[in-house]
Amino acid sequence: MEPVRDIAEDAASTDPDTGLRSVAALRALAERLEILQVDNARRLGWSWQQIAERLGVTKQTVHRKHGKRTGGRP
Amino acid sequence: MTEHIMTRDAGAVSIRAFEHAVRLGHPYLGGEHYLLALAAAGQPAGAVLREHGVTPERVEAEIVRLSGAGLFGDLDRDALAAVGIDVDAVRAATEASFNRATLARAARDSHREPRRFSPRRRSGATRGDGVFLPHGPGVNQALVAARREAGARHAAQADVEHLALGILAVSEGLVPSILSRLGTSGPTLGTAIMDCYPPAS
Repeated sequence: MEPVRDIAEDAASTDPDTGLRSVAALRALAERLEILQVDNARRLGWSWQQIAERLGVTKQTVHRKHGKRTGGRP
Repeated sequence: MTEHIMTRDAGAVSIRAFEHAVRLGHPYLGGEHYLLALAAAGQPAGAVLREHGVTPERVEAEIVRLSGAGLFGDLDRDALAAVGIDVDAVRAATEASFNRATLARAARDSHREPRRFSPRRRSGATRGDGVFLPHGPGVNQALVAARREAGARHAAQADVEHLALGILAVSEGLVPSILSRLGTSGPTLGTAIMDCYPPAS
């Protein structure tokens, strides 16, 4: 993968088509990785609170988003 | 799902089709997954497919090429490359850490709301453990055709060859493109399969 500085330069593309598509694709990629990582964390017994802290969101947010899917123990 | 309208062999092909869809991380059960299962089938219909170059390896390669596979298959590769992210590198990194079942489950979950099919299309298949996949384009049509083929040959249940004829006759979804890329077509294979089985008496 390229260095962070290169990514920042490309993401700052002044062509809106390139820039916006990249943002949308990054968001989609982040969503997929979040599902993978949250499921793994739950299987390893992590609490919603621990997961939420790492993701930088509230426990409620992460539970609402993933609780139903992974089987919602508190 | 389809136990009593299919023979045990045809049911086994259907189950393998379902497993292929799950393994590839696809949020639906498509004709291409049936084609992949049929191409590996031990029955004469499977042998006919392979003789015409429709082997499991080639079918899978075409499926992956046309629809992508796994958790990252449908992401906008070019847009991510524009910000310096190589989807293949991300895929390789996750595949090195997580097993296939985990990745396939995440892929399925990430497609929980299938966007490629209209919400009213609720027909599909459910596995023993309750996992449901909606049918992809043309699959309902193919299953109806399989039963019709069986009926036309005075068979009580659809067997592997009837299922094959149904799937090969589908004009929607990926099957026609896959067959065309492999240098053949549904009608060609359908005729070859019918030649292998005794005519209805």
